[in-house]
Amino acid sequence: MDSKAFSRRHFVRLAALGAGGTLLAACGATATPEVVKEVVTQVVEKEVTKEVEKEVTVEVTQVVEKVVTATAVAAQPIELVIWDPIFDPQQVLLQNLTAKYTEMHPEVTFKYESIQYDEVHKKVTIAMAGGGGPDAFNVPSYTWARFIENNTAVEVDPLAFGLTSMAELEARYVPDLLEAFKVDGKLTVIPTYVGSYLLLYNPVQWPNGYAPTWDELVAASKELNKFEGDQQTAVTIRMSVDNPEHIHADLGPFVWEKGGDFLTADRTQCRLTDPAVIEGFAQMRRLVDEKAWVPDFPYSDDGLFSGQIASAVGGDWGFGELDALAAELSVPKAELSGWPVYAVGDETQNYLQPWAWLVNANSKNPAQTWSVIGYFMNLENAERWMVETSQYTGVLASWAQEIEQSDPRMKVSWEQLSHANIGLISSKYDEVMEPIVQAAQAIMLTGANIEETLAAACAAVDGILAG
Amino acid sequence: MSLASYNTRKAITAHLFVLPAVIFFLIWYVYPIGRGVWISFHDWNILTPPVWTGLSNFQDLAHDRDFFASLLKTGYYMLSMPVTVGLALLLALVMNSKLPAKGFFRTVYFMPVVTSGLATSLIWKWVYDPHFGLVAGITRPLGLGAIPFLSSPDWAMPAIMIYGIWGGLGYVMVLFLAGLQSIQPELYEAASIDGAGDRHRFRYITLPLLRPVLLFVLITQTIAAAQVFTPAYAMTRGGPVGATRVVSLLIYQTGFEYLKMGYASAMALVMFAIMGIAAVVQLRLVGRRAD
Repeated sequence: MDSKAFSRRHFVRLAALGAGGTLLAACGATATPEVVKEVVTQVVEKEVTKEVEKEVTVEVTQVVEKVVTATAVAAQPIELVIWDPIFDPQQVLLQNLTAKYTEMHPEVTFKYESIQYDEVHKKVTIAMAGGGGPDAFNVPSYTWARFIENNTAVEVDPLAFGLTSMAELEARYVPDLLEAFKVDGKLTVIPTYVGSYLLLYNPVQWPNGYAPTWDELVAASKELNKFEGDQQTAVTIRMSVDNPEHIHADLGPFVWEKGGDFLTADRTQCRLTDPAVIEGFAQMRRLVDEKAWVPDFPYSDDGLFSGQIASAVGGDWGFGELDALAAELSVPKAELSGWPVYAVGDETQNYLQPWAWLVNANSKNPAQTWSVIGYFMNLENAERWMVETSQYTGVLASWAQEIEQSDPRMKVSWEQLSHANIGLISSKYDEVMEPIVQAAQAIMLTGANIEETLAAACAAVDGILAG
Repeated sequence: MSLASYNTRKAITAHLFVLPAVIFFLIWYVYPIGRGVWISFHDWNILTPPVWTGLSNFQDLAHDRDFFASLLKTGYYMLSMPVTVGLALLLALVMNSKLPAKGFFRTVYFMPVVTSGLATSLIWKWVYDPHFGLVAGITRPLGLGAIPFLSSPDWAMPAIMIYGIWGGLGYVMVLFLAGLQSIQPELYEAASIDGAGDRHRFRYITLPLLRPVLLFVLITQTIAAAQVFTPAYAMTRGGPVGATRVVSLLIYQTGFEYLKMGYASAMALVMFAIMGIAAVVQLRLVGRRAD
């Protein structure tokens, strides 16, 4: 055997050749955008000319650059990482959509991962610390601030949705919805699902708004709760005081209904000692004392939740149960794409618990990632999202019209949406909510003095806000 | 080959064998601890670079009521440790006797140790449910009603302690059992011939010879109790009204929910110091006698 047949020198020479070849090949690929740019410029210029006729002012070069960037990136094989909360129907839908997207754009593949719903934002945060993380992630509103405030989210690109301006994108949604999601005038999120509280109401059954419905709701809930002596054997309506999100969703509406809120609109001061808030808590406590509502701690996954029943709204988990009880509760029901929509409440108070897509600033392909999100949330797929995941989003303007047409008693009120209604969008959300959670637990579970407890919690919240 | 070069080669070989373990130790223990200490002197929200703040985290901690409250809650939980140790010793004595189907019982008692803590915590959450839970199913026919174990600030911590005792019993029992089986039977025979009864044999033979095991158990169980996290997180999330907000949970919330990594690291360091002092005290008290 010839020991010099493949020497170290040979190996080094071959390796150097290989590396050089690879480098040249990689550099060579950069020629593609120039060709693409020429073709796309012609096409887009034609399109833009049409748009100009429609009096839409668009910077041609800006659009071209964006398209070229997206196309150039897409020309090379890329893998986009998507993190999404665990929810089986959504998982199936997204896997179908990503597969379809890859069929249309073979150069784009996906690594899709489902994560425990209240852990997604934590995992993204930790991954970002190492300069990584998914390209796109789907998280609830109370976690957005940490990404937006720290510039780790990429601004929405209307072009990704096949639109040329933000105005067009906003027009696709219910009026003021996207405006409500903006921070410092910038939009960095695209809603996937908006669980709405007190969003729909029935002006025929309750012409004077919310208050007259209390007796009816209390009577209905008392009837539904079953007792054997002091022991409750059937729990139908729960008020969860387990964690910040539940406090927000189940207790919040009763506070807002009185005109109160946990914080001031600019989120710099506590408002827990306002008479309206105290009244809201007192009303809830009265319901607990009368055994109409059952305070729920720790969180259990059965029964209806007060926020849902009081505002008759859809959460992804609530519709089936509400559907079964609708007749007993005399809750009006309409149809939306064959899907039930219920209404109770007051149109003057809206609360949103939205989930949305964000694009990671660490993503190497932000334009392409927004294009994928644009595909997920285009009109056709957004409809699929609602039907296949049973999550009533009520996001699109056309759906709101459909609701109103299906039952004239139904009225969709979106005008009141604002940052204040979204609630505590702040990176201090969890910290601020902790004293409020403890106060709610003390008041509802131990019968603590409402005013004193809220005053103590307010002092703690102000301390946190003061930093 | 000279003796010196032989010894050198032998030493290099030995060091190479140890090297993987040393590298593992440096990466997974020394570096995180050092990094934790470094972070405790910074303000760091994970998403932006850390900012040096000197001792301010520790100064803030000195006035933090939540931290001291959680220390007290942790101390309360640690009261379950002597119960665990006592019960485990009792069980080990029973298992060490001529009991039929000992292997079966030993396996049953050890099972919680090898089962996921999160899974068992969730099971116990249902066991405690006042409406549908196993405990309520037992107490209700007895006329005791349903105790709101997890929703009452008075009952929540004892409920978690009971879970902790159940979960830790098997491991400590096995340690004691190993200790008991290492005691030579001749010692008991000699003591019996001298007229010693069961109680005296336990007091003058078993207990003194078990002291090294006891010392190990006390130190490790104290540390384990001080680190309790899973049941408080999975069953009550620190509630109700902060009744089960132990230090580990507060550190987790501060770091990963409030994004105050520096402050959370400072808490962890203080807790580390407290546990270090506790271990030294235990070594002094029990260790000297064990020697």
